[in-house]
Amino acid sequence: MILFKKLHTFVFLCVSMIIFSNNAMANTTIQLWHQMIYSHREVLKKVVDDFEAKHPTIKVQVTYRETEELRSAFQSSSMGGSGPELIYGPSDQVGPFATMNLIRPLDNLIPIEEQKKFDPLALVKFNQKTYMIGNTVGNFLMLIYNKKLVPNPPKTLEELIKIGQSLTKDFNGDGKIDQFGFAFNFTEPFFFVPWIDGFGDHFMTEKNQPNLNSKAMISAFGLMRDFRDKYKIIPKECDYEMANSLFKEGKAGMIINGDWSWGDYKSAKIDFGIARFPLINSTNLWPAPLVGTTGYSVNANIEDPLKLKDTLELLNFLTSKETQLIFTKEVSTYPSRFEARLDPLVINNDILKEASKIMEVGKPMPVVPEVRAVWDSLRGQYQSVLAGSATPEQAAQKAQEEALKQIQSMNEELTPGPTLYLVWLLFAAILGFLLFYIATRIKKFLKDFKGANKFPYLMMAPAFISIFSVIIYPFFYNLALSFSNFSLKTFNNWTLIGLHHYQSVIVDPKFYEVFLKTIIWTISNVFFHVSIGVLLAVIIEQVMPKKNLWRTLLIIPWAVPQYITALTWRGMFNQEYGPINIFLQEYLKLSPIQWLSQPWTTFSACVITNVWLGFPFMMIVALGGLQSISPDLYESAKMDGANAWQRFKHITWPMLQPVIRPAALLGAIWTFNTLNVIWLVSNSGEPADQTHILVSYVYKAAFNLYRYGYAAALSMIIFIILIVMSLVVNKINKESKESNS
Amino acid sequence: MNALELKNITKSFGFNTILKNVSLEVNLGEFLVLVGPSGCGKSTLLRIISGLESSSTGEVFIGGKNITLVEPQNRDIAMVFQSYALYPHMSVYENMEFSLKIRKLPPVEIRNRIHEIADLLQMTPLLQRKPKDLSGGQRQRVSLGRALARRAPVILFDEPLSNLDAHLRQQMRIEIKKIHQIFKSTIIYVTHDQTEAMTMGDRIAVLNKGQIEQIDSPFNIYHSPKNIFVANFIGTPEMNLLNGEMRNNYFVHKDFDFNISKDISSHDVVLGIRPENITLSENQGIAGTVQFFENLGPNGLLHVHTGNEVIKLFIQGQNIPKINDKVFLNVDQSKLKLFDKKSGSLIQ
Repeated sequence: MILFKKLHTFVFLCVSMIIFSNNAMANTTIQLWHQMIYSHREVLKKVVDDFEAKHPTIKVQVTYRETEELRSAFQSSSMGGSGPELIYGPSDQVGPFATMNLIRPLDNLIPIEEQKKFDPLALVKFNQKTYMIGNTVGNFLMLIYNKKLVPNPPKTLEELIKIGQSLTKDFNGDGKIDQFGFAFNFTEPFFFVPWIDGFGDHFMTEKNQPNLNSKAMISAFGLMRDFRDKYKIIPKECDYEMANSLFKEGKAGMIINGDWSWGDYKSAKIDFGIARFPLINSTNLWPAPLVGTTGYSVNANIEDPLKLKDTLELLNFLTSKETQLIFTKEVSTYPSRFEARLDPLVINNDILKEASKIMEVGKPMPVVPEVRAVWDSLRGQYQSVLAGSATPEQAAQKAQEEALKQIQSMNEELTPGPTLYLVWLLFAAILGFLLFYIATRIKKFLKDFKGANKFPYLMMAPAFISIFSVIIYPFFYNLALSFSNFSLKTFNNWTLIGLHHYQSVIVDPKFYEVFLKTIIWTISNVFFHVSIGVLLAVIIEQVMPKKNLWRTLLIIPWAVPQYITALTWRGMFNQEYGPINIFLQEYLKLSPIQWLSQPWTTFSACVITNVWLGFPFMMIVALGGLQSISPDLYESAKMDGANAWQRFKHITWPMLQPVIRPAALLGAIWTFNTLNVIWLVSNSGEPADQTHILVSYVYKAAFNLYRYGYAAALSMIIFIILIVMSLVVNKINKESKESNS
Repeated sequence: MNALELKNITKSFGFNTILKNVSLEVNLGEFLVLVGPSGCGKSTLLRIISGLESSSTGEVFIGGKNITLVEPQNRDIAMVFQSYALYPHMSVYENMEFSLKIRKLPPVEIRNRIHEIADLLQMTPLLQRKPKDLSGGQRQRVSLGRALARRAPVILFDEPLSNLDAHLRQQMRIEIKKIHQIFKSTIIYVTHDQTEAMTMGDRIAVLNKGQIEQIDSPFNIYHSPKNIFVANFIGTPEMNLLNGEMRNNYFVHKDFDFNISKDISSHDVVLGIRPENITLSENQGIAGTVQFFENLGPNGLLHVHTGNEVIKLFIQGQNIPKINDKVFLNVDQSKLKLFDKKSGSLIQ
């Protein structure tokens, strides 16, 4: 009774709150989703509060989301016909969103004269239409130098090399470089493409087509290799984190990094200056960093004209000169309105002044969806050059071919084929199955539900609904997608086309290569998980004092979030500074292994990382199993004359089987399906997409290249493989069980 | 030569001394029972012999060889565990085969031995079964068979019958004894059940608080207990023990006294008399009141209250006194034992 009263009060409170807030609230509510970093968020809140004060009839709901999450959440909510009125994010989301018709062009909404007041870099265009207005420009790379080591920044490439060589030093003479002249994330294409412009070409044509097979590309490839091998001014292996920490520790004189890193260096107390990339002497051209913007786009779904008006009101306010200057003052952003740039706040800021000079030679960040395909094919080939497995000429040619191929498959609009009938047949079969086998049950359920068992069914409903919505529905949706032409171009009007994707998976030799790798991956992982897990469990249980302490210590790898472990191991595999190579060199007197730049060593690195992550689970399972073995049995075996190994072989191992077998099957499925480790340790399949297992391959197809239908078909195939695998393993288990008993 | 010899075995866990300076000799082919109350150290002593436990000080000899530091698997001793300790994943046959295979006996020999033992223990039909499909008694048999198949010179039994019901226990007692007569192995058998000890042992060692109180044949242990502890521990029902003092050949109890024609120097004594050595009499002897009668089938146990003590005696026949009847008890003087109260040891 009391519970009911409380519930009643609660409902009443909720209802009255809604009524009350509706009365007190404004006529329009505008939702704004953004991905601003923490300090910017604070400023945004102030600005929005100000806006609401000035427009009492408009209420603004501000929601923060991390960049990728923002992208996917906006995508799904807008497809459903809703979503926030305004979305704030990086310029490269414009291409996909505009292609999917999720955001509307702003040209009819914002007059041309008004648009002209903005830096063109801040007006993000797609197919000649403006889709985004940035309130700031930036997100570009530059040369950042440590004034202590480099008093004057190099103007030209020659100077850069000279300064670099004079600063690259081995202080203690141990054969390892202690200070580098130059460091940057040179394996990542984003950090590489500015150099291409220095040799006289851009990596994309005016028409947004890939332009990778150029002389400039070949020269730039060569330069990167020379930085490392000829001039020796950069570390042999260097990712973003490593370059960043070298610079922050004062162990690198110069770095290439973006405007986002300034705060980081300030707090590391580095006295730094910024400059353009050095002029390339042979061409007398400046390398051109890509300049992006982060800005606002308007949802295509707004139909109410009043709401649209209020949304534009907010958009204008957020991109106004005043707002931009508030951001400049608080968080030092470079305004996108020309008039705001004349303000003393901007003029008197040395860094911003220098930044504007750098941006003069910049190129706008391409926003077309095809750029992903370009990055992807460039990355692979570029890394082959660095790994020495391709010449610059070969790589440039192959990158161009691959980019074109990927763009083609990204943009292909498939039409229904003859195999569509098979799909309908399959659906009919499924329906028939449901009718024949489940209909009687549904009938029984309905009868039961109307009868005495209503309450139990209602109690089961939440579980059933959640299972249906997270397992059954997505499964059938995925099945449908796998027979469809769902891709970037057909986002809003996809249809079933037949077995096309299944056919293309089955004839693709790459599929079999990845499948083979997946099998090797799974077997080697499970083998080491079980053997190390059981070994440690036996040692802990039977040999070590303080069992609990050891058990806790050894569970730690499992308790640490996977991505932290994966990235830590990635660092440990560094060719020059990774503890693993140092160990190999110092203690085993072996030559260092280029772990992360050769296909099989990268694969091994992934296996080692995953073994580290996975053995504690098997250890815990084995410990549980060991505890259920009576100590009497070991004593009996001792009396029977068995030594330690014989006791393990004849008592421990067979008695662990009942727990180890199901755990190993589960482990095999998990390992087969694990994405994190492969993705993070190999940095999404490096080198050159050689390090993939089926799931990472699917992930890449779906989310990097927008080939949803293909990815769905591939994941159905993985599903079938796993089902077959489980059935086979279960059968083997059953047989061995039967033969045992 | 002795089959087994223990010299000054001491075992302590921290400050807790479990065994104090135990020495023991077991003859070849002898069935020795170690008996004592819980916590007396008998199992620990057995485990030290087996090697599963090491002694703090002292030495163990088997067949004259010092094996104190030898690992259990190298001692060539078989053992039957209280929990049977059968390997659950192996069939009966494999359980029996295990130690023989480890010792690399020829397969033919292994097969012959197992079938011989299985026939003897009537478990041939069970050979292919797993332990989980066996009853408690059958498991006990397997465990016994496994130890016998080894043909080890020394077999240790650690309370092997305590998990069985009374009927089975009795059966197995006889069976083990029979087997011993066939194989003539040296057996050391731990139990807390003095009936088991009495029926099975060639000799019995009574342990108390980590020391051997008496080691002797069952007959002597029963009829000539060396001290109050042994007298009290051995025999069901236990011996009647009456506190009193000696005055001029008279045993004087608070409630009664009677003449003992023995010359005793001690003053404070404990008089021990087994229930079967007391009879009812018409009008003379110790006066008392009947308190209770336990019917044991062939005879009965009468509890007679005499002042502060309860004296138990066996009676037979139809004329059973009723509760609260007055009775007189006659003690067979030749069977009574006198113990010194202070030291607990037998005076005469």
